[in-house]
Amino acid sequence: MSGAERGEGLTRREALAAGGATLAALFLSACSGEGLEAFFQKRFNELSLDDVRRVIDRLQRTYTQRFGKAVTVADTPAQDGVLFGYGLDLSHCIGCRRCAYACVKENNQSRDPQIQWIRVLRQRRDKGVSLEGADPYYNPEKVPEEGFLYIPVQCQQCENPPCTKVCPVGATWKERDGIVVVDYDWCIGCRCCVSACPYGARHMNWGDPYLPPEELNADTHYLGNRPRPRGVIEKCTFCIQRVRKGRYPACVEICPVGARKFGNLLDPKSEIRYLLEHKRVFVLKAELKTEPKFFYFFSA
Amino acid sequence: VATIVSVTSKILRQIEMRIVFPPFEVDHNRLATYTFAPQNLVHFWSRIGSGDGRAARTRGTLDAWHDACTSPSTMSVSRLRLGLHLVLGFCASVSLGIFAYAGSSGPEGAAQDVTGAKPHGPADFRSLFMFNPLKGLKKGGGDVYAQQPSISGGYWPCSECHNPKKENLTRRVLVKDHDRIELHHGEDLWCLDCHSGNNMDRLHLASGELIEFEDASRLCGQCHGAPYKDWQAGAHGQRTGYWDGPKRTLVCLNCHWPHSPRFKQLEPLPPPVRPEFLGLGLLREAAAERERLAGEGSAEEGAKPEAERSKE
Repeated sequence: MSGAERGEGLTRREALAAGGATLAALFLSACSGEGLEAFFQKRFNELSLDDVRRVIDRLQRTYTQRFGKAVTVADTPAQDGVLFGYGLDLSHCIGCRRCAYACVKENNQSRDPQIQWIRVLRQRRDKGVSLEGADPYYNPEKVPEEGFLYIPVQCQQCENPPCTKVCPVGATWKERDGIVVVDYDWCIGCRCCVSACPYGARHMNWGDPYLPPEELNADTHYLGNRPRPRGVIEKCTFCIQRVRKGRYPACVEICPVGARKFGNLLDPKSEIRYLLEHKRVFVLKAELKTEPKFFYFFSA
Repeated sequence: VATIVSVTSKILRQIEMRIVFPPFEVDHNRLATYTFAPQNLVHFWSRIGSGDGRAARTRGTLDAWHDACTSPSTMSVSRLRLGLHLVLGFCASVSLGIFAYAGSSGPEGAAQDVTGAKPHGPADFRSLFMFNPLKGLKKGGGDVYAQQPSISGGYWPCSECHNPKKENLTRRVLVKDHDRIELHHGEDLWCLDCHSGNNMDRLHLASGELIEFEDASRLCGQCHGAPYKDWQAGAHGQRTGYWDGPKRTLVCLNCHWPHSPRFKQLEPLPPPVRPEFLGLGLLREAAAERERLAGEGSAEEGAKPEAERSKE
């Protein structure tokens, strides 16, 4: 029985409801149609095909306007029978960091504050592949240096990813082809995943990402290298915009010593399968049972 | 006018010209550390400098060598007046870059910033990232091998000088010709272990089978079986293109200079910004400054920020 029926004016509940409705109405009327649509946009993997089309159209328009050149946002889905794997030859890596910069160029990371998805660690050779005391800030005249080992680390695309489990809103998940992705429009920037990731592979946009329009790579993917806003997490996606179209990731192609290998783990004839079968591969922090699909090996 | 200025400044940014005095050793260009085998150049020098009656503007090209860019380069050498020479290098994989250089030009940007405060972006190393990984590839087409760089220093065919009948086949250290080639390969190798004494235009396998220079990888594979097998499977060396389609594979000589095959040291790109310096907005400030200058200045000065940008 409500208060109104009893003739006692507004009850507390009705007042709150009315107030809320007024606020909502005010808020909605202040938004443009597109803003409204963006506000009510669902998580990417819950969107209907029509919605995806609409969202992508809106994003393309927004980015094209913002950067002054035609930007495409793809939603290329995972292929059947594909599980991506990566191999890195530590006996060849010379620590030249070309991969880190090729990645920034391909994936539209913020130039300032600087974000790099690949971090190359330098470790003393006598310590072996140990991350403890490894130095990412080495800066000699020439590499490789005598007595040092270089260990590039990026997202290990775990089969059992701890980062996706801790996300309170489900904004990050593992795709069918094994790539762990982030929906930048759903991420709330709580950084739980940053602390859950044992490899330091997730990066927070602490500031407004600075990306000069002339440096923008206009060939983007919704779950990959499209421009990010402030306050969201980003990470390596094996260059999802490239690999879903069959190409090698940018870091594989730039590596001057050919230390980086990439392929389909389910294809027995792929390069990555050759490595798994002929080299003694290992993963970082195997004891954590994250089951990375990023394999390191020594070829010589 | 503004368009012309901006286009010109863009072209100028790609061209770096220096006048060179022999003897010289080309070490590297801007940041990419292209190490050209000096002997090629020196040989070429001796040829154009030998006063063989050519015009003062002698021009020639030679295939040069570098080990970072992993594909062949061409250099053109022009002899200018006053005894000066101009060397223009064109790197085939950096398809837009034209470089001219000599001597050991120091690295730009790379090792300069030791504080770890300044953020560097890929735009600082433009020439490095301009190569075309899909060169010669068609989706649905076949695999391709990168062109093997010529190491003959512009001389071809070798039989022009080498007469098989007059060939001295005794093992010796070369002092009269080819003396610039320093052989750092294997314990006890010498020329005719790979080159054919009977036909200098070919190489020979251990079996005696003559092979073309373009098939040199087969020769390498005789001793380096494990890497050769890995290379054939795509596990050794650089591949570009499509993981599920055609691939472009580099051959041995794209990365390994056969007379001294160890991979040369490279300049590393700058380290990441240390966390204590993150978010200083240095790049943004620099960009704003450039815009301010461009806004103030005339069309001439408008080109300046571009030059500054390439230096950063």
